[in-house]
Amino acid sequence: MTERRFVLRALLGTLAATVVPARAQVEDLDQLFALFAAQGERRKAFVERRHSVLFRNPPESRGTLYFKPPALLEREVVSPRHEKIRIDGASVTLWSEGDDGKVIERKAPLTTIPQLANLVLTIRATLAGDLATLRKMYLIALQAPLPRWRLELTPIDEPVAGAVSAIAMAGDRGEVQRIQFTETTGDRTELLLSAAR
Amino acid sequence: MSLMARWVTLLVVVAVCGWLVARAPIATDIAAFLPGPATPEQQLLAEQLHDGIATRLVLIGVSVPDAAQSAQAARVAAALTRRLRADSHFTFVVSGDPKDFERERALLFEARYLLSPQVQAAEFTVEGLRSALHRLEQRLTSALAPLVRPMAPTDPTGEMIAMVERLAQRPPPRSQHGVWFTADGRTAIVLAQTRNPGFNIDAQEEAQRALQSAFGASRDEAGGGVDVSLQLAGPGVFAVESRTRIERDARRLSILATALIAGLLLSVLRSPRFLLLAAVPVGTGALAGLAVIAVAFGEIHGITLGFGLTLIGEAVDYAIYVHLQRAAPDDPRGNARLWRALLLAVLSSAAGFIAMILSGFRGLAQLGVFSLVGIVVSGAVARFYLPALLPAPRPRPAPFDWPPRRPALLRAAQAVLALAVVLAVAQIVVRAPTLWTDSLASISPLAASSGELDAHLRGDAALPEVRWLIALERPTQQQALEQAEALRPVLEQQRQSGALVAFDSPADVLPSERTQRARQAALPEAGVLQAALASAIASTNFTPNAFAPFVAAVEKARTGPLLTPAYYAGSGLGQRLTAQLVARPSGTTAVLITVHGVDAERTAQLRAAVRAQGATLIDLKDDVEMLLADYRRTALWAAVAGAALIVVLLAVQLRSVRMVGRICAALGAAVVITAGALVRFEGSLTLFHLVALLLVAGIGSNYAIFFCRLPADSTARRTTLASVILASATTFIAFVLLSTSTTPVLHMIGTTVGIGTLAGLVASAVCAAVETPTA
Repeated sequence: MTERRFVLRALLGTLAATVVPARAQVEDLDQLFALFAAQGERRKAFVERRHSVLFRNPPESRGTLYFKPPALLEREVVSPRHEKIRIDGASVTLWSEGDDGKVIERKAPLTTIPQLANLVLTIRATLAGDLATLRKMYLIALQAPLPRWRLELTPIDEPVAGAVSAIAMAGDRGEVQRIQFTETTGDRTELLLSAAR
Repeated sequence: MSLMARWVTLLVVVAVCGWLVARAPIATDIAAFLPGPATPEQQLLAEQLHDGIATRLVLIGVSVPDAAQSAQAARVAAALTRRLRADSHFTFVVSGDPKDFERERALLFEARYLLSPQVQAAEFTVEGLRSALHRLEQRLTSALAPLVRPMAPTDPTGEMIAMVERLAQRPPPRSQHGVWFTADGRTAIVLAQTRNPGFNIDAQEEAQRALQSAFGASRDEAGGGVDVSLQLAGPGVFAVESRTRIERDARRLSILATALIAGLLLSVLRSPRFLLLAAVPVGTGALAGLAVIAVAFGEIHGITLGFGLTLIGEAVDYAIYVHLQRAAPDDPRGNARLWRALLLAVLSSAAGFIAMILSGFRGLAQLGVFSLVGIVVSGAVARFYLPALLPAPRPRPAPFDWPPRRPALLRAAQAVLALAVVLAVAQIVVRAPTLWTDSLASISPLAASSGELDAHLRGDAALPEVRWLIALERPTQQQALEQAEALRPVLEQQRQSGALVAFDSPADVLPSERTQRARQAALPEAGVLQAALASAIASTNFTPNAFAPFVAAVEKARTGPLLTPAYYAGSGLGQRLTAQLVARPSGTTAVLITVHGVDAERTAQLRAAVRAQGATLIDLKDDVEMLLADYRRTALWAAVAGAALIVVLLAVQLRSVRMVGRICAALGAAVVITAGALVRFEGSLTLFHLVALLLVAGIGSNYAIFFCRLPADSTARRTTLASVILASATTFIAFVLLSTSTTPVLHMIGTTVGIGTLAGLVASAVCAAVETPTA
């Protein structure tokens, strides 16, 4: 841990302590993640927007997110173009549509794509209610308590280029409704989850 | 020749031989016992195997007993990597940390406009840029956006992705805790490149010692008390391993053979003086043999030096015959008879080495020449120098007589021998379909476990398999690279048809100058590009200033220098390039393209496609096995020729159809029984067994020669019997010891001749000595 992060943690700790009492926060986090875990297997509709200096308007993609505990995560985009990625344990499979409309399948171990690995591990651990795993990667601060909670996650390790440098989540009880990833490039990706039709 | 002149001659010969041997370099290269190159491609491979950069690779496995302790293995591997990087014995060390490849990534990224197959003039027009930006937008909304985003402003056309997709056809190696791991999760893998080539065994040994001590320190530092062990593989490691093994074997065998044979001779003959004198013909023979090799081969192989003496242990026999069978000084006819028998024995033994000399293996040929010269010279020294030095002959009759007085006993013995021959033939016939093994593994000087470890670590580290290669050679480096570029679409087509899984061409990281210039020419000037980009951006969702660094990067590549191998110096890509773009001693350049996952069913198709482009597909395994089968057929003919020579020698010298017939029957029986026993106990036969079988015939002929002309006088006859039995015992000891060697070639020769000596003695006694001679 770098000194900067240590200071940050101390600062966040102090900040959190002023918002909610520390003991209450620990209990609330445990309770919140227990609610996540209780949801089990689920499929959600999502809308994703990337806010970037590169774009005039944030591009938007829509699709479904499927999670089956403990380690299967599938993200299927239907608009603007079809794409599916499945992360099962440590293996990643990507199906993407080429310009000719043909679907190309690619496989790789998750560890070889560190930018993606952190993202996947974070979403999986959150949806599984695995607080312990998440704590190994992030400093977690509960910004608002249940039922309409807000979380802030700060990576413990220095993120690689393009990886996530901060995560904010919000939701209602066991439902995660919004996740925002801030990347080292300054881009923000906003993921809005709702009940799948 | 006067006695004086004779001695002066001997001393001069010994001095000259000693001088020749003393200045000859000693080789320990185990490749001498592998088949030599038969085609230009194999010559290229042989060079690479000898001093190519691949020989500097050390595969390091850091293992823990249980996959649950993989974190400790990873920590030790990481600590070891750090230490080895600081160690001057090693030039390059990687262990799978993605950070290890940042340098390579940066080099490729920096050179993307000279490397990317996508770079064409059309790509940088308004139309081309518009479609590139469209593609980029899609990528930035895909699941892989985090990968693409950091490069987007400098590489909007996606050259890096195009390059990586072409370079990374195979899935990357497995990794855990940021370190490469074997599939079972128990062994972390580190790759290290030594500063010195693999054939420099002293330097390799030193590097390995440094590695071992670095491992010890890393284990103490990061092992956390877990039982972490180190495994090493790779060409240099094997070279050190086999040298150590050969040295150990040679020392052990020489000492044991000398002690056992000396002990036997001393206890039977009770003459220390004889023992010392017996060393004279053997020593002179060995020295002469080494001298001839030094001249003929330019170097003496460690195996010849270490085991040659054991191989011509037979030379002691001549001293024994001279000592025991010499007639009294007043019986010149008796001596003339001995000299003729001795000459015949020496010549037929020498003929036994012919198959070895003609085997095609440099090392084996050297052993054969050494033995032939050694046998002939020691026979000559025994004949011309020993009699004057030896103490007066003292009869040492055997405690029994042969042939036995009761013919029934001899007939029973013959029946038993015939039965043994029938059993041996049956054994050979039953195994006939799999009688011969031509696999490299069966004759390779490497221990089987070393090869497995290498394959295991290599496979899991996704290193090139060593089986398949495509080679091409052109007068200049540029021509070779251009040819590799021409070959690329052909290979890609083969890949898509499933004939192979992946290939690595050096032209992918170092295109020919022609291709690089063409790519530079396709890049527009900054002003033109700026205008085209602005116009393309207008129709997309991108902001006008999103790609400012892109225009500068293109301008830099357009006007910058071309890539040379020096660009990659010191990086992993540089290592790969050195291994794959080889300057030949002849001044030409060879390109080696590694090929992975060749479909055995479609080899012919791939071979033809590659040949049409002026390149050659090399299948190390099949090529070597075909070569071995070729060698074996040659050796078979050489053995037949050697056997025929022995028969001719016997016929010329003995001038008796009956005697030649008996001797041939004895030798045939000895060879067949030996072959049957080998098939029974070793499973199948190799080339090395084959050349040793001729040796069995050569050695067996000595016994048969003496047995078929036993003296009429009972004491003389029993003395001859004793000398033959004693001689065969010393030969048997020498070769049985040789059979305990861990070097396959020596083990096989030792086993064959060990069995063959016994079989030859018995068969000679039973077939050749069939009538009690009468005066």
